[in-house]
Amino acid sequence: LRREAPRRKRLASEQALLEVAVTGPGPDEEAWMRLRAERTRDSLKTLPPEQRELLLLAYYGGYSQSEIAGLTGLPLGTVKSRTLTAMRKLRVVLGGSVDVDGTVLP
Amino acid sequence: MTDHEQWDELAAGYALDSLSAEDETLFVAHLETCAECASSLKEHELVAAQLGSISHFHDNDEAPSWESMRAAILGDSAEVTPVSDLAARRRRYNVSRRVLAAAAAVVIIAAGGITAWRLTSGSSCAASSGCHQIQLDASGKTLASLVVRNNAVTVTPSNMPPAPAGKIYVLWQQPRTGPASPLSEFTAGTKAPAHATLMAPYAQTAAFAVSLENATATPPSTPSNTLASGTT
Repeated sequence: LRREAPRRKRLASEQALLEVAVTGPGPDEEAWMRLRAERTRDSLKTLPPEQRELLLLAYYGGYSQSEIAGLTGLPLGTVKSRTLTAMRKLRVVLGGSVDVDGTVLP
Repeated sequence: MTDHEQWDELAAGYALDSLSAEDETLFVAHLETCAECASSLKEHELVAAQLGSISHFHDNDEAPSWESMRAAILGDSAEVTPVSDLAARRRRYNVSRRVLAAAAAVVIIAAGGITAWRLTSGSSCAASSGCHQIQLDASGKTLASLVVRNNAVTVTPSNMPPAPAGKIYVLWQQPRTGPASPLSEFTAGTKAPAHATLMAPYAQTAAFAVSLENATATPPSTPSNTLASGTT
């Protein structure tokens, strides 16, 4: 019986995935994800443009800080310090949505 | 500026995966001995993971223009810092960071069933509270590592074959209850880590799965290949 437990657990997991294949994300989940994205978008918009653009280039553009310095003409040190400032501000604006207690809020 | 302020700058860049190779080596070495830096990094990673909640581009081959990238992320025409030659000078556009919109996405099970990839818990980040390391193995070979710190997930491909042309890997989280959510997509071609945010707490996670999907302009909505799954 004990040997059966892992197999049952695995099968349950596969069954859950199979059910997802049929049902897809539920409406609650979709709404939650849209809300979360919108909150992040709104938070980005509160940043000063010169800070926000650096985050966009780094995270969404995939550029290194050295590359960003070249692209923007800013000194590398300025790119680093502005990025840090932007990350700190964004954390404050996002507030409880990035709590470290294991709960992610929209 | 304090010494730690400079390390915190590197921590922010590291969380965004935006450090130069030199800075990254410097910071990673320092991180081992700096609890304050580890704490700062955790906060920055949570913010970076939150950025992943915004879906934007899914094209594999074409660099988006600066204007179109901003519009996709921000959804408006806010003030723009001039970066006129962004597309022309693009050196890397990390598809791995793109996050799927879950609305149109489903996990697909291949007709042959789930390939027997094994996820095993590692121990290298066990010292950090709330840190879990999972290895994706196939036939005894580690293909990728999954690190979960609180709600931030990093997937680092190692021996994973690059996704075929026109395809992408998608990482999914299956909570104990409710449907699976797509967390991130990646190609594994550059070995660059992919970042994502858990859609449910790790403690409530039943499994992670990786599927291979068509790299289309919209998230997958028709059946294709699920390559791997495993329980936490």
